[in-house]
Amino acid sequence: MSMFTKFRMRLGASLLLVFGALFGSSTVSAQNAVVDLNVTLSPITILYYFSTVNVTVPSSAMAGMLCGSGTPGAIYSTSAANCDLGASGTLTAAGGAGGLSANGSIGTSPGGFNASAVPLSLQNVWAVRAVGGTSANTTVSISLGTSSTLSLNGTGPQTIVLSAPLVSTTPNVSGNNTTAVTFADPGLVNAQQGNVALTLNLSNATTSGLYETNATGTGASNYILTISGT
Amino acid sequence: MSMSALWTVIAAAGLAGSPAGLRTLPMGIPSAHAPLQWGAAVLETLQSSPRLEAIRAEDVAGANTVAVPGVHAIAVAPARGKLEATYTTPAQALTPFVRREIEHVWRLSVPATATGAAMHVTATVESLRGEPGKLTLLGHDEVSIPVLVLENAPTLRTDGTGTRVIEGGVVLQIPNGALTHAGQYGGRIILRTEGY
Repeated sequence: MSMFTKFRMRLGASLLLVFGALFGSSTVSAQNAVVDLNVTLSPITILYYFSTVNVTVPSSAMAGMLCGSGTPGAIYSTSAANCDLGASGTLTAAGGAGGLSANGSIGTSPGGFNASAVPLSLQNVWAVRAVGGTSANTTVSISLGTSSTLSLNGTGPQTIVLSAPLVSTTPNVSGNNTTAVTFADPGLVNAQQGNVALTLNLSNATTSGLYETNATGTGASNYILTISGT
Repeated sequence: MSMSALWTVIAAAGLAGSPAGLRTLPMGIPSAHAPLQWGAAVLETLQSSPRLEAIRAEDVAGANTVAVPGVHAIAVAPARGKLEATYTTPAQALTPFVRREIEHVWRLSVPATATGAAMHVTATVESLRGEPGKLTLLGHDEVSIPVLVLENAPTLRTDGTGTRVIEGGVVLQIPNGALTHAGQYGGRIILRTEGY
């Protein structure tokens, strides 16, 4: 082997070493490592509710409600309404010295409306998101709060008394319109919306205006929602 | 190539056969037979099974009861003798995802003689069934949640021997919409060295 050939061979070895340093190391030292990973999703139940619910009952709604079995109608350009109770039926007139008289017997509850027990439904005033828990269901129950009487401007003698709170959901599930409604855990994406129904005694609401628990309009507890099965 | 150039290369190559300890070629490549393999970085995990805070209602909605300020609606009489008022739902939008940060997950020790210009560690997640980007509900392999792995910016320091020590962590990002089953989810973080 000539010196030149020998030189060439050693040169080749040197280049091999250099290329090994440049390209071989990535293969040799590339490494993987593994870390165990555990994530716990606790049961989650979230109740959303309105802390204050304000309802305005306009004349048209009152007229529709007060008309009972009759047919309500608006009187143009006024807040007054009429209520067509239909035919009076056959009346028998009585005659006297003053003329004829027939009694239509319209009564104190025309149309059968009972002002002491007016159902008021508050739609979508609570919602629940729920995942897991002691069961796959969630129950929302309702009770009256510490104050069930609303007074005119919070102080007046005129009152609206609340009673018979009920809960329901949409769509309907078993237990709707009772004091406790149970539904399947809805998950976290789409909340289960719910309603509250109260019975209003309007017998003593003889003046229009704002009826509330106190003059501040805050801090009252008129109904309480309780969630369980979480 | 001129002969003078050839001689320079030969002289350098001759060092490779030296039985002495770590020596470095002029271009910075460690010589053979050194105590440490030249170019070899060491990847190690700093936690084998990190403890993560459980996902709770506070993570997705701030609290488990959410009071929404007062609302107002005008009642109608949908039927005779009945009043009804309809409100927009009080349900607030959820936070889009839950994040869990795991600090100090890995350490990469790079000898001073290594020359990689862009060496780094990548982290991915796979479920117990080997599905990439997911964690599996224990006891219910068919249930999984997607997990996005974000890498924390690693810290770099150099120790007394010149070894560069790079440490890093990860942030797990789980979409709230995927949280449909409570329980414990398992999987693995796979760390890989790349770029050198």
